[in-house]
Amino acid sequence: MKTIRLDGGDTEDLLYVGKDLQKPDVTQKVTGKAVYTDDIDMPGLTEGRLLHCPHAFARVKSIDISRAAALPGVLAVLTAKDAPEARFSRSTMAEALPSFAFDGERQDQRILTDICRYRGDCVAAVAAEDIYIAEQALDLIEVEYELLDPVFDPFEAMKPGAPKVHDDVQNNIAFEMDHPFNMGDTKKAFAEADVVVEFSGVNSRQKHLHMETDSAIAHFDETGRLTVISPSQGPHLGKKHLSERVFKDLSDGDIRWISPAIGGGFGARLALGLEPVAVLLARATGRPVRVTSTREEDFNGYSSRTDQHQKVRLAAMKDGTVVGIEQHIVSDAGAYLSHSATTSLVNMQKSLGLFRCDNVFGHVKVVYTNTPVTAGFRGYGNAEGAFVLQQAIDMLAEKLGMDPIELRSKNIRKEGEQSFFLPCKLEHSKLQECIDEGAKEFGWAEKFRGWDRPRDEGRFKRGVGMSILNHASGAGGFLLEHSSAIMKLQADGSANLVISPCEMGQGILGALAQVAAELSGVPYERIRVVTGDTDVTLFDIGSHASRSMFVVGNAVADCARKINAIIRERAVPHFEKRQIHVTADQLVARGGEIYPEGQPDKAIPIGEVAHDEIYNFTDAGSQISASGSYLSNSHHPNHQAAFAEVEVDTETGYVSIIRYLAAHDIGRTINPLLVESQMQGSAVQGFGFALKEDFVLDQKTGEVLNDTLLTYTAPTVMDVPEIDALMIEDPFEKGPLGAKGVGEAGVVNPAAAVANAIYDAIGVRLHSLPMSPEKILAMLQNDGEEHPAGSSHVSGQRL
Amino acid sequence: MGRVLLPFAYHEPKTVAEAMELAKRDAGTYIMGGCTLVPSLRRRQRRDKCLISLARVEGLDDFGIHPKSGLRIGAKVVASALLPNIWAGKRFAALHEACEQLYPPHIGNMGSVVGNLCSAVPYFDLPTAALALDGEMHVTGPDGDRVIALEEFYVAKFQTALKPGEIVTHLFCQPYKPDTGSSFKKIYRSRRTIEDLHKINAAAMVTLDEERDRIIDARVVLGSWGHRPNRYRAAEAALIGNAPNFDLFVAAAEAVTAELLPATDMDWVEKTRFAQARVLLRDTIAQAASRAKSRHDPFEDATEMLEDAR
Repeated sequence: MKTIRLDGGDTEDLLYVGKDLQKPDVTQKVTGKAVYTDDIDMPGLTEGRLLHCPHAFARVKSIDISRAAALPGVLAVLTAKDAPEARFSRSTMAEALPSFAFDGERQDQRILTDICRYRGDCVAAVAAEDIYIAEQALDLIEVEYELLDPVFDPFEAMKPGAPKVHDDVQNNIAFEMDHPFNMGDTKKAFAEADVVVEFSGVNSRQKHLHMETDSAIAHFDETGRLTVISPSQGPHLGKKHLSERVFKDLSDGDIRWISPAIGGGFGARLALGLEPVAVLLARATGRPVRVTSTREEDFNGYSSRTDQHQKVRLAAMKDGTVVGIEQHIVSDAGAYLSHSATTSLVNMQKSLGLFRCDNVFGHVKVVYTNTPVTAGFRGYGNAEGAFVLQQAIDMLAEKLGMDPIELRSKNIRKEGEQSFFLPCKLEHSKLQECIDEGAKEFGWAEKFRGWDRPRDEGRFKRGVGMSILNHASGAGGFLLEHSSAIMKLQADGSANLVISPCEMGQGILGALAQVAAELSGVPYERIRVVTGDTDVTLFDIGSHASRSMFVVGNAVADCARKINAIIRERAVPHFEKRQIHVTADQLVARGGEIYPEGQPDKAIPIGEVAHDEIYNFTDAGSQISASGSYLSNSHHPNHQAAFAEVEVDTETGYVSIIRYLAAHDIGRTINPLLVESQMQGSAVQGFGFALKEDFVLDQKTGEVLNDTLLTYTAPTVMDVPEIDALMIEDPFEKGPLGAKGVGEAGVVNPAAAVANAIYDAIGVRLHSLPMSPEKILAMLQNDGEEHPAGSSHVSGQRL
Repeated sequence: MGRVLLPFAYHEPKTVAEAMELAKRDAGTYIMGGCTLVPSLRRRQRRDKCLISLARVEGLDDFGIHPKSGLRIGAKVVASALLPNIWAGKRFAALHEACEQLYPPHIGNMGSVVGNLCSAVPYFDLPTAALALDGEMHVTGPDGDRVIALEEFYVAKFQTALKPGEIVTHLFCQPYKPDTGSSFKKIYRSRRTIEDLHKINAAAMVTLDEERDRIIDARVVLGSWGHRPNRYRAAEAALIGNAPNFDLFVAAAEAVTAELLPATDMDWVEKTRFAQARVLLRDTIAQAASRAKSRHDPFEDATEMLEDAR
């Protein structure tokens, strides 16, 4: 990874920030000692399993549980009649939205159902002494189904007379709205523009593929209080959602939610997974219950990216000024709404807001089908949008005869201009620098050979492409973006840092501890991070939207600055004892020591002060502690520009990525190693999204055809090129030590940049993801003919 | 959908006789690495109540690979055991390549070569490669020993010519003729329907005459198309008697695809599938021929050196 510091940054003297420090949980993870939900044992723990419907659309005519219930070791067999009537959405995200927005998200699912809307809907739940008995009991449940005609395609589903997935929803349209910030007159703008382009396309249902499959433990203690243990990305929101939407007899304080080690999230854990059914079984049995799913069950029922069918139109003047943007989205939610409406809205926010433009129109429909439920996924609508929008931008550049860089540079929103996400100014953006420095590093000027160049001769053809993005560092002003942190000092001068974000592999705990160490004066290696227990941590909406570094980081910074002030203030008498007369303001607390400014030789250890504060028998005794908070109510995007070079084998259709470079507008890098890992991990996930990962449904049965890691091919290290990450540093005054978010953005650009590079190589644009060899081959064989449009689907996959 | 395993009885006999006795008594199923069997149990495609592990049975671990004596792989030998063997790499390249490309590597470490062949999974790689090498299965059973050529081994999807209780003791491939090369390649694809398969694989063996400018023998095998790998004799006939060159390989590949039937009713899927099969076959045959032509054989080198020394 290479860093370019825009302001030089020579005068800084930082002890921890900007260094590759080891993250606190790494030893447990690499030695296999980290405790995941499935590793937990407790007295009386029972195991639960679920019976999934084997049909895409069916009504349960009758269900006989008597044989299952009679099996020795079975403790409870529950069906739809035992589940609360209350309907809820899997997504917990809406709990962080204001109520007017919340009401738009349909609460449409029950824990157990008697109308099965996809293969995998849950019909019954069993709790037993062990998982094998529970599994055997499932085979003894006799269900008689009345088969209904399913619908698998969102466009078919909207036609009059199509099967209704939910009785109370007309034409299966679960959600429909114009973009709230539509403005100007796009009709007029398009009529008057010099150049107009249109492109349509759809992304695939990429799976999260978290290594830990879904799992949850629920347990009511002797007082009736509920403890939930599950790998949640946002336990505080989970708690609220569970009590307000599912079990309405419970209140917020009745639930303690613990997130132990999490085996990957990528957005899938921003939802209620198996927790509600575990609670239901725990209630029925009076014992702790764990419910676990297999990998195949995760594939069939859990969640994936939402497939968003989009049409983007761009209008521009001859000089390249974009004067109109239109985006129409039809999203396939699957059988229940979950996150699909919000991800579609975020897609519009990002796609329509990238360019400065006065005439903007966006419209979204989210449609029910009898397919597995889709959800939020790293990138959250942005990656889905970029694939289509960035290809449309390149088409425009070609029509105008402009370099793709020139067209983008001309139209992006600059610092101080109006932001699109919220009615506020864009306070910080280094997107232009990302484009310029990234292009220089990549060698764009030499590699991009213009729009009119002849294609390479021979079997293998090369091309280059680029893509840019803006992404959130938390969704301030839109979501409930506040967070709080607590820090307390032990008698030896070490500290506990209590924070809410969940560690799912991204390394956020270490980065936040680095901020705490830098600003409090307590050394990094002496800070112990406490997280993942709602009884201990303060309210926070969870790890998502690249918000943890920015929002929680600011809360940590606030808290650490307070600790630093207290330490210095309490140290004054210690210096008095040594005949050194100073005020707190003249002291420096740093790296575990306190000393008068400019006199590090007079240092005393922080531990001395911390110890004497606790073991103080006068009436002034207290432990050094502080809490800090931060509320983000504005939009602080991070940005990225990415460049890809590909080689297409025109005989087999295979695409190899030769080189990939992403330049990221990060504000400040807190931990370069973690940032580079995020950049690489997200790029690899993006390459999978671009070229390989294909969630295929049989269009006659609704069955998931590739529900194992053998047939659902995610990229491995052997499939990806060296990934160059370029950090554009320019500390943002509102970020903690200047930092902005980084985790999500990297997954957005790869598919778009690779699609543009494929076009540069072979002159063919692909309308659907993944850009698999067959599609490329089919396109190449289509010589000169009109290429099939985005909505023409072939067995679940669209060209 | 893959679920939790149901309980089953599990035996670990020490001898072949004991294993066959258990199989008869409990209607048990033999298991080696379990790479195919366990997922099918989880998916409830099979509901075996009794498994008989061959892992501790003595005498099933033959491992002999030599240019003069051929390839002999016992039932317990895992696929990754072939990888460091120089003769497997040089003289039985098709099988070696198929083992090398098993994904993920855990499969190669757990799964046995013979077990893989016995699974009769239509899209598996090792059967395609072993068929190109004229492999034969040596079998022992309640009615005595017999040898089944791989060509007769596959009866239907997931079904072999083995009778109840029979155990394959080892796989045997004849030693190469002089100036022979073999090769294996595969292409991953997407499944489009339940009946569709997610990849195509091909293997070829080519023997040249003494001058190495004319093909005198050939095997062309395509797998993952239908329920079993097949030899294509029209393509082999097209190769034999001719000088190895690009146009000939294209013609041989065409001869195979001319015999193939589409697997789905989707035109564009079939068009690309046929195109990929053609390229795959062409390149596989070309590589086998190139190996036959340019093979570097350390055994011969050593023999020549000895003779020179004399």
